Amino acid sequence: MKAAKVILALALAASLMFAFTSCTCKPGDIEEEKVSQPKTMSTPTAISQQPEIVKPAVISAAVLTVGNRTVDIGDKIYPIYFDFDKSELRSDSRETLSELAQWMKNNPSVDIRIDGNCDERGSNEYNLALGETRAASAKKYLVYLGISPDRLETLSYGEEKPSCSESTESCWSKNRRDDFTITSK
Amino acid sequence: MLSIIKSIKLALPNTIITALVLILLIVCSTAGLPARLEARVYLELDSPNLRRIPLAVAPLQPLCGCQEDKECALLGRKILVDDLEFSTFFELLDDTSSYLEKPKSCNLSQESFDFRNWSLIGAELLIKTGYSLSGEKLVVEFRLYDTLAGKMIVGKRYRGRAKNIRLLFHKFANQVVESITGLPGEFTSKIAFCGRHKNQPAQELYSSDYDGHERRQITRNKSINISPAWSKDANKLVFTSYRRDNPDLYLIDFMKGKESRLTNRKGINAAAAWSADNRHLTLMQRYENHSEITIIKAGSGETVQRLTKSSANQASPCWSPDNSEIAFVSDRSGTPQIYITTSKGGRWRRLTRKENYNANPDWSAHNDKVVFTSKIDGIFQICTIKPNGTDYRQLTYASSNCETPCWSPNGRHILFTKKVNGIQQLMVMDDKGRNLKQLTFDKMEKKSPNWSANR
Repeated sequence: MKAAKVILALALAASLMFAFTSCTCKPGDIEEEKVSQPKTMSTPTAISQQPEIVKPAVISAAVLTVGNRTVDIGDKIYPIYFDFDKSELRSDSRETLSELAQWMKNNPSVDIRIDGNCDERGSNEYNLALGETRAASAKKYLVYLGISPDRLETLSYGEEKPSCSESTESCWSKNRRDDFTITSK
Repeated sequence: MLSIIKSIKLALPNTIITALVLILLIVCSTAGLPARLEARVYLELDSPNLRRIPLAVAPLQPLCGCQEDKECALLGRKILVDDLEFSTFFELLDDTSSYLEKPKSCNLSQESFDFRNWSLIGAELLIKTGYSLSGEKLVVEFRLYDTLAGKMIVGKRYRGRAKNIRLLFHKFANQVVESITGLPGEFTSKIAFCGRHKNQPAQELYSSDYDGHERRQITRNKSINISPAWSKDANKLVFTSYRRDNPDLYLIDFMKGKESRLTNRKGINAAAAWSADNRHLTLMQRYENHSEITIIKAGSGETVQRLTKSSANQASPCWSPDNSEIAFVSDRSGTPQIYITTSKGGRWRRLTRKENYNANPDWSAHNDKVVFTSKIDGIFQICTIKPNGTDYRQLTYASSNCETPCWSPNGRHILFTKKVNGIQQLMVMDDKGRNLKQLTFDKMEKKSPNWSANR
């Protein structure tokens, strides 16, 4: 039965060969194209989850908490803040950094990481660069105050790690900052 | 007779159909096939006053002997109409009720209907579509007709799974645009972007179709992931992730289903962009405590060259289409402006002079333009400029920030983000700033979209 159909089909196809002298190609030019499964965007080997970084230190207004040890560093406010689109240290920031430098001298085993941050305004890629220089400004000043650069690491988060998420100046001013984290004690 | 062949074809197994079609194709090609070979270009893309060609999309009809499925028919037609509308090449005659006709037979051949029914309502082009849906199996047959000449321009039949209906219709829409303009449409391209839910620290990467449909989550590392960039063949994606604390550059190879880390130089490794041949990447890296532009090998991550040497910050590099130059942002003048240097480094020139905050350049591979974002009267707007500094144009006049623009693969559209009701959404418009369309509406903040070639 099937074979008969095939023969019939072939015969019809052959007859078409003569029928279409100037072939306008009716059924024949429907090309069969296999629509294969798209190369799906399926999560390529899912990026393994990084183990939660054990935060070695939390810096609050008045104390440094190192592991389960609390270190009093006096009445200081961390982090330090910047003006819009600027990476120059403000005078209040310089005072804060002087206190931090003194504390680091008294605790010579402590290393610090400085994270530069920006508010959400402006290009996020340009802000990544701005975060680099904000972190570098604080590092430069601490080095100037006598802290070894080997004890200071810097990192830029650009506008990607806001501490406040509203679109208001009071919020933005909190996001233009350097965070300080103790990386070893 | 044609309908007999058709019904036989539908009744026969695939291999036999393929053989039959092959025979017919051979018949056609030996017979000369004038309709297919005379490649008439209906629209000259370079023409300054591009006319939209009136096109009708007939309601989808079941293929001979197949059941009707209203949902499938409506969805399929909508995908096709939306694609063709988006292309800006056609004037869609979309009131189907005004030209409903009763086909004389169940197939789509030109004997089954009267061209005059369509030319009468002003349609110069007509798309007839037949479908068959059985279970998960979807077969769709399309024909694009020139109603004035009374002939078929192109016909295609696609088979696929019902869940890939969008891809299937996008493929034919690409074909329609290619038949009319000589260049394929961009309807099977993808968008990658960053997404963050409110008050969540994690920012993951997502992808979607060009029209915002079919969204998928790409990364799941619960870290901060930024600046995705498709390779020019759309098979790879680079991005920057903080998952190991330092912002390192990662590469996903979708063909191999693998992810690897390309560079982990201390400091930022960000805002990477692919060279036209996919062999190199240009990106921001830290040198001497600030950000400079470098070139690395896309295969190994090995540094080829540091392009800029300045005490200022550099950001957002992108290649010229011929790879000879690189545009980037620098604040060496005191404010962020766009500059151009050769891809060997050394000589540079300043591109933007208006306004004091210009950023995120993207250089079109097809028309000689750089798109960027510019802070005008306190709000970021999308602008274009020629690489020689002439023909500056402001494309958006929005009341909220429009940022991170990028070109579509054929350079006819621009994708960017705009704050809508406090949420950054993906927007698309044509290269003149017209036909603005919002692609996303949900509450997730979206950033840094990047548009791939057709996949």
